[in-house]
Formats: sequence, C-alpha cells, structure tokens
Amino acid sequence: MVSNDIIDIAYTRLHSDWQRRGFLHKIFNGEEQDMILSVSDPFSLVWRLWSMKESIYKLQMDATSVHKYNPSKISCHIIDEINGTVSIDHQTYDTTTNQTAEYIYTYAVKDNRSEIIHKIININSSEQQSELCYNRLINEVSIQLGLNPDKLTIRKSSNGIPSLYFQENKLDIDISITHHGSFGAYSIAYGMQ
Amino acid sequence: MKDKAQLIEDLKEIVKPYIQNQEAFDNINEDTDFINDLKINSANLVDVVLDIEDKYDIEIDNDSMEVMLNVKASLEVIQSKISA
Repeated sequence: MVSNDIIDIAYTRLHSDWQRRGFLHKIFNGEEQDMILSVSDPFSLVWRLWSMKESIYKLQMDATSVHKYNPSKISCHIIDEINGTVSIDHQTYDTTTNQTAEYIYTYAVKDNRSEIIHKIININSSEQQSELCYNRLINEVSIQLGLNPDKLTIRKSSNGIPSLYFQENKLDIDISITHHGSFGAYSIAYGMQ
Repeated sequence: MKDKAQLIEDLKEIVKPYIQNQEAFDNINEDTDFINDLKINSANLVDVVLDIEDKYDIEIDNDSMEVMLNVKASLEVIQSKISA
C-alpha cells in the first residue's frame, strides 16, 4: 500500500489562508501548533505537515474504510527535511517529503513492495486533473508490463481507494493518485516478484 | 428555526467558492458528498467548516467536524449546534 499527497504552493497561497482564525486549531494538535508558530517559515511547515497528514489519512482509509475528517488526531513528527513519522490510532508510519519552490510532495508506504515509482505531473487544465493523472499512470504501467493500455482501467473502491485492473482482473500493484492546482502525481508500487 | 431547504441553500452559498464540479453543485442535495461529488479540496474542507461557524456564530469542535464530509451530516451538526 502506498499513498501520496501533493500541494501546489502557488495555488495554496491563493486559495488557503493558514492564518485564518481557527484554522490551525482545526488541523493541528497543540504540539504541532507550537512548532508552526516557532519557525521562520510557518507557511512551508503548515503545508508540509498537512501533506504528511493527508498521505496517512489516505493510507488509513484503506485499512478502516471509515470516512472521518479530523486532521488534528493525526500527529506528525519531523525528523529532517525529508523524513517524518505520523501516528494515527496507535499506528506509526514513516513519511518521505520532497519539497521544491513549486510543490510539496509526501508519500507513505505500508507493507513491503519491491519497487515504487513516483511521478510528478504538470497540469494545465484544471477540469481534467484526475483523468490526466489516470491516463499517465496507465500509460506507464502498460509500458512497464507490456500490457495493452486500452485494457487497463483504474477503479475506485467505495472508500475512494484506486486499484488497477487489466480487463476484469485486479493487478497486484498498489497505486495512489493526487492532484492539487497545477500539479498531479502518481505512485506505483509493484508486488514482490 | 430555519427549515432544511433554507439550510441547504445556505450551505450551497458556503461551499460555492471551493467546488470543482459544477454539475454536482447545481444538483446539490442531502446525499451530496463534499469530496467525492463536489470535488472540494480536502485542504478547503476546513474552510467550509470555519465558514459555517462564522455564518451561524456557532463553534464546531473537532469531534463534530470529523463527520462533516457531506451535506446531510453537516446539516445535522448545524441543526444540533443552532438549537443547543
């Protein structure tokens, strides 16, 4: 199982205000709020922590299938610029974050997988975000595995977790798709061979 | 006390800036899901909750917020807080 989250920094500056009254309190626990208010670049930390929570939220959803939105119950610890850990419901997961001037990308992995591929995608039209990511992912898998892309489909479970199918057969590949503003990303984790 | 139709209209105004699926927005009803139907960014869900707080001058604690992923659950939270 792999899950990811991307944040478009320019888009976030336009569409979200972390300094809005009540915002920090709804998303972060006390320790995280203290950390945010003590750093020189709170904006980056807010959205890095958010991407960590979001990636784990998706990982967790697969396990429990209960939809709940309470980010303050997911607690983050920063190890260094890239690595972190996130705890939810007594489980702790490692997260990896890649941050550029344009985006923040975080992923988390549960269970061993032989190889994980991550791709960041530039999106121009906001209408087709998920479709574009889906098509790119299918294209990549079709090349990797030598399968006809027309027979590959991505189907979402009732709790929104995507799976990859070849005709009617579910493939032993974990995928995760995220998009935000002008960026999308997908992760592909192939099964142990 | 506002009736349900009025509350849905209020909610429609509140979510309007954040929606990314116009068709689902035009057909908003109790069963509409904020993320799956309206395609609201999860980062903006908290803005929806804060806007609701501002609109009705109520406080929504994080435990109440966690169910507010669709219109129906949000209406229930709003109604319980307004009448509290």
